Amino acid sequence: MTLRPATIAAVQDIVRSHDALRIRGGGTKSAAVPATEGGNRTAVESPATLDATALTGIIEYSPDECVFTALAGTRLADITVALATHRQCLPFDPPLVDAGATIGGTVAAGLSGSGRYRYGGVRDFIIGARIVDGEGRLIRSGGKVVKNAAGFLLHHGMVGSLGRFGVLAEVTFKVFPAPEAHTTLRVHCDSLSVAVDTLRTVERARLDLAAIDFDHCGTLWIRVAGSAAALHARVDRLQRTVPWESAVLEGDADWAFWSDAREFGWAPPKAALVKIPAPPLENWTIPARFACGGSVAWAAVDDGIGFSKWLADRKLLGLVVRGPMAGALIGRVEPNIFEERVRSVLDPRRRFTRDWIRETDQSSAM
Amino acid sequence: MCIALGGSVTGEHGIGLEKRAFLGEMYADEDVAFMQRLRRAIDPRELANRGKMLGGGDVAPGRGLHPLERAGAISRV
Repeated sequence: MTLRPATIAAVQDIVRSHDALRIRGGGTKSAAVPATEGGNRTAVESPATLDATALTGIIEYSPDECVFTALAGTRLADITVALATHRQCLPFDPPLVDAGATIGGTVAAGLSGSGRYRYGGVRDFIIGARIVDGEGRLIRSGGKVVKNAAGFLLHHGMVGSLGRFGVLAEVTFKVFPAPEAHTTLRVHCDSLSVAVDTLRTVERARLDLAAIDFDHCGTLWIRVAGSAAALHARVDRLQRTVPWESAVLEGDADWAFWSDAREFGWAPPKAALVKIPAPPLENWTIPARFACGGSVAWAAVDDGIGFSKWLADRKLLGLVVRGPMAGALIGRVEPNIFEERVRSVLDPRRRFTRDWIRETDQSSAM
Repeated sequence: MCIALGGSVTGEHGIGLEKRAFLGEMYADEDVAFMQRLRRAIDPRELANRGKMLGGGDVAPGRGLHPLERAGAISRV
């Protein structure tokens, strides 16, 4: 059963009248919602789905203050268009905009894109939220001003919460002026290790770079952003810093590359897509993109179970963004006492984690 | 006035002792109640920063007042 509330009050009613719920936004991060269709977990009475996509609309946007407030089901594409009319943007490059991702789903999955390298991630830009907890209570956290340090910042805790703490009903973000122009330098290195050496050389050169992504074969994409008048000289300096041949991507070519990165167009559609924080930067045989100067890997995985073991052997955690996996988290998943306590406050009846728990019980029984 | 205009009483330093009285003005009772529940769940014995932000605890007289307030030069409305 899928419920699609259009108001925050309706979300509260639905939460109060269901024992178990899973929360879903645009559905672009299929695996990040527990027990999604196509999952290979044992089906035990499936909880109702709270679809947040009718909870939509930008409620307030103050370009002068660089902040906006939107209902959580608002699509990133709509937000991007609204911000662009005032030459502003969400600089962390939220992924899957064209695919239909919502702002709430982006927060819940804790996903940032390549712009995180220069500007910070989704947690650095969310400044407030209204959240419906597991008892149907509406809790406000943060505010609508860029500088605020009052009270507990629960909205930061919702980043990466995967629907386990509550329903994001409304979010407030700060935004930045959009850079006037972008140019990207594509550098082909012979291997991943040469690419990592090149990355270090570039980082030591004190260039102000907007993004650095690279792939497992050793190609680097280095993006420069800012005033159009200064861009040529900056790219020139970057090109002289890189000890290999490089190609300059300007205008549409620059745009096309980063749009593809944002939508994961490089990943085979049937492969599972897994985010790995702080990944090892050697011995990659499966297709992968590294973003934020190598702080994050996005891996396109055919064998989910094998990859989960590979991660666990290296004491790494993976977030399955999409794909036919049993759960959203793979690799070394350990109980987190802090998370447990936050959950005991927000959702004492475990309305939002009922099927997760069942799964844990099953795996421990095996 | 700051709160009425949608602002925050603290940009960087937090509520601490001095601004405890304003937390309840910025946030609704339910929001503060949530913070108290969360605080109790994480730190049931109130070992960390007792009395700060959410009140309670034994705070010595005069503590948590602005120096000018303690000197009687200013007062809160």
